[in-house]
Amino acid sequence: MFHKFYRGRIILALFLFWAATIGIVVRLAFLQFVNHAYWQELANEQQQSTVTVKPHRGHIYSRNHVALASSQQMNSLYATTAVIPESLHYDLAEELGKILDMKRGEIHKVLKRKGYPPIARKITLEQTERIKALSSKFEMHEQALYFQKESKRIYPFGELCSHILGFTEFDDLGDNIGVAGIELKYNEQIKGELKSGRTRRILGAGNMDALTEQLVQSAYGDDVTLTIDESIQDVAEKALRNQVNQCKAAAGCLIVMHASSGEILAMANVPAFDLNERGDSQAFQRRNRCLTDVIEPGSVMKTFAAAALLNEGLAEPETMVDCGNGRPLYIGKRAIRDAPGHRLDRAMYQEAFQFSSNVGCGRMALDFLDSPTLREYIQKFGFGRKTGVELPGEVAGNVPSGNWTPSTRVSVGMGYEVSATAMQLTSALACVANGGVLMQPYIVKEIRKPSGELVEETRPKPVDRVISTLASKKLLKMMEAVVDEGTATKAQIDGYRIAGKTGTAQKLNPETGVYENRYVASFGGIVPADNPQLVIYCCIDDPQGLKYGGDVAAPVFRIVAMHALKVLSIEPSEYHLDPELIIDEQARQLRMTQAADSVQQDASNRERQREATLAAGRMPDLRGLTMREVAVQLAKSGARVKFTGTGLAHKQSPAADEPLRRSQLCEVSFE
Amino acid sequence: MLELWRNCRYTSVIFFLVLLLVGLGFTMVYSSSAVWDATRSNQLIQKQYQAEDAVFTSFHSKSTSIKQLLWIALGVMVLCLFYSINYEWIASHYWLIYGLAIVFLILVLIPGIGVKVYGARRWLALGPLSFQPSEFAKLALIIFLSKYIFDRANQVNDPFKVFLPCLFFSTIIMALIVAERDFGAMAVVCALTMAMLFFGGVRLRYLAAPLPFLLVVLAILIILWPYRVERVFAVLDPLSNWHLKQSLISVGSGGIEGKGLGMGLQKYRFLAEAHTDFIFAMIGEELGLWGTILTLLIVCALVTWCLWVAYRTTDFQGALLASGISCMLGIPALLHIAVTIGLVPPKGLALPFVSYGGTSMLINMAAIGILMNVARNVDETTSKRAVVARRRKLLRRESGRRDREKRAAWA
Repeated sequence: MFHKFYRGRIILALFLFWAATIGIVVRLAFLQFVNHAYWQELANEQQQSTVTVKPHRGHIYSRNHVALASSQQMNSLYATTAVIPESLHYDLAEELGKILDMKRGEIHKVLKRKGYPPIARKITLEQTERIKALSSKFEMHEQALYFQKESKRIYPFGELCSHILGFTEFDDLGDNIGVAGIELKYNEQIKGELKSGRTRRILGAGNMDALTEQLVQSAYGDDVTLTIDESIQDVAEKALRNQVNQCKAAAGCLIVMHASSGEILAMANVPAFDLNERGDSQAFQRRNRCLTDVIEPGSVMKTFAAAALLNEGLAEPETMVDCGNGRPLYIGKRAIRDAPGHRLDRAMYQEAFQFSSNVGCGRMALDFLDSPTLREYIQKFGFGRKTGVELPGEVAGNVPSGNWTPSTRVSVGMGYEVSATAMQLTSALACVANGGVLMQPYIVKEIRKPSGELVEETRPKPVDRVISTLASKKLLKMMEAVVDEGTATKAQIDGYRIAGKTGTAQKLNPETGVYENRYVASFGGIVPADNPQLVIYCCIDDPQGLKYGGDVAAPVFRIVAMHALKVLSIEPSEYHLDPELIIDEQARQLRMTQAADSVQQDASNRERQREATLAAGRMPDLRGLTMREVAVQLAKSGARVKFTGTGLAHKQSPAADEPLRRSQLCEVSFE
Repeated sequence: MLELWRNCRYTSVIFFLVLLLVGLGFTMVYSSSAVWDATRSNQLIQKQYQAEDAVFTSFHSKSTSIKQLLWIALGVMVLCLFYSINYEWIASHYWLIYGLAIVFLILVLIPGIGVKVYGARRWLALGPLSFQPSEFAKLALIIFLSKYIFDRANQVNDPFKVFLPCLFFSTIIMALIVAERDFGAMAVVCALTMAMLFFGGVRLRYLAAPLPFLLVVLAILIILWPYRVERVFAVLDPLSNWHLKQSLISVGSGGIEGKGLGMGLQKYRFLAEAHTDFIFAMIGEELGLWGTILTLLIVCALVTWCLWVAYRTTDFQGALLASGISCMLGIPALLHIAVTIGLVPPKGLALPFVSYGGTSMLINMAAIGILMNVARNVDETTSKRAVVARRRKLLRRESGRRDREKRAAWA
């Protein structure tokens, strides 16, 4: 019968089937086990794509972690005119004009152009939302109005630190590039590196992950922290501006430096400009005069000649010198005269110094010093070469070369024929103040990655020992006399011992080569003199009316120094402790605050409340404050701030009264 | 318990294995079609499909996996239906079934009734449903041939009585399938015909005879559609063919452990038809070597068990049906897997019970239903035989005892 037949064939079929299965298993083993790496490679190649994002520029912080410069994400609006029907142009232009605060005609003109013309730049996220809503209202194509992300640089304080921070401009690639100040010097670090990541893709339909968004949110360049104290800087700028305005002077600059470390606490220039509206500013406003302008320092230079004399042991403050009693000192045909007023006959070197007697100091240089020694000291104090502070555009100044004639020696000893920048003078004064070691001045405290990782930290760096501690002590004593009863009595601050030296230099007309009747008034002060902490150098260019450094520059020093002493909590000098004076001062300040209170009672109440909340480690209510006030408030708690929008604060995270950790990131949006 | 197993070991194992495959298949369809459905909602991609065919998109307007679930439920019902109908009664209508298959295959060629997808007319539109006549034709041919050969079982060695007529009837179906450009299905039908004749007892030399003829047909087809040559040679250089390359990348990148269920990346529009023609590649990517071997084992077990039913049945008609149906499941399954791993030139073949597809699910379930009906006979006879044997043993023991008693009495 049949079944003998087919049963054998079924078994045969079964074996064929199993053989095929085993073949397939072998092939699978090859694909999935032996050659797995090869196929995985091919898979990765096609399944992933690289997303690259330009980072926002990093922050620039003051030493108290207040953001002086930060970045904000903005959008630019473009139109695809091909997909916008002409019938919509009028209404669209009208509505867009309302949102963007632009004229209808302007937008209308853009819409008529072919291609993808830009309509507006730097529009806020809120405007973006409204435009998106508008787009769907008109039932337009998705791409009819489209946005491109860009990063805008904002400076919450406007004018503050404008010369230090510098600013950015868009380059050809649409990147923000620093073109001045710290922004230029640390452009590479602040700009950050392109961030890229791998994302999974859907063939022909874009990427699967919102990686671009994540990267944009997280991509920041490095943060630069300056040694600047924003509060001292603010007062310095204001005081200097007031004085320059009052004296109808051309310009002024002021540097506050920490004596022992070389940290620059403030660096003010007048005229200044607003960083957020730098388009309106002129080149002369943008120059950082502290570094770029050289002056003949005048009598301030006598300090350094004195330092040479004292350090070499060639003279003592008590050394007697003939100050001529009104008669000039003749060197060949050249006559050197004292300023009219105080007359000295035969006096101690200290007195000659105290009243800035040209004749007395000139004679000391002429009789006791030789040219090589003086030149050596001048150069050791850092004149004639760049200080190396981390800001672009610094100049070296000039120390006369060749063999110095006695006349040159006397001139240099009085601050003529030598040119220097305010930075050099401040740094040289700091050297005198800190016991004779020239410190490298610096303005960048540290650079950190956005993650908080330290990239670079500046530590105080001694350059050279110039004079001995003893010589520095003697010199400080001489300088103290200048403030106590010499030319700079207007620099006195109750409760503190102050050393200083005034300078009133005649300006050389570069065209004619003749000294004119125009002056640079300057004052370099060291406070407190018994324990030098701060060096403040102020110079005012071409004051009208009063011309002496003691009259023009010393009062500015006084204001700035008083504020700085308070901010830095520097103890008053015991020697000067006069309770009555202190009470007077306190009473005066109290009166001032009371006056201010009466004007802004509400504001200050709220302020006090905020401060109390902050002190309790909680988030204050920031609504209604300006960007700057917010920055100052939160800086006190050490928190970091992220700004969005402009105007007054209206939203905050964390909310009011929530606990606030140190270095927590707070987000505040403005309207 | 043992009794129960004895009574239904053939039917129950088949049913269990089919459920395993269906479960695995649904899981993989769910995993792959999620992306398929999601990307279709993307505007840009939708336009592309609208251009393809409006009717086709309307079929696919619902979630694929939910539809697959409906098909599975319907398929189990169909299975139960065919399980309860005697296969001899079905086979007795073989002319009607064959005629229906021919009618469907002609209908699908008529524009308006047949739906064109990707350049091939393979679907009949029945209101909201679609129907693939070539799937039906496979089962119809198996039923037809089994009955035809069974009726002439004592004449199998006469080529004019069995071999040539069978070849003729299947060639008609093959021709119609080629007309709708379903080459995968054609190859399967061709293989099934050969298998039926082989199991029917036709001499092997007759079976070898049409091979040169087949080669000539193949040559003509290649000349008619030269682009198919590329496909054929794609096996030698897998990277030259997009689908094959993607499929190999899927399987290869899965590795031993696989990327995990739902974690595959190839389904993001790299692997076209990930839920139908390349679902094995998806298994390879997401479940790895263990997954592919497990799938292979289940398929292998199912086919073996089906053939075992054919082996054990005492009825030649049933045996032919069972072996034909095992081939109907086994051959496309092996071909599908071989295509996805680059052993065979790429063509569109579904993996039975695993791939998404309504018609093939229903037809395969029906086929398994018929097979289980055959297996039921085997179960019944084997269990009956066991009962008889047991009784005989008892009787023998009884009679032996009686004999001893008698002998003792006599003594």
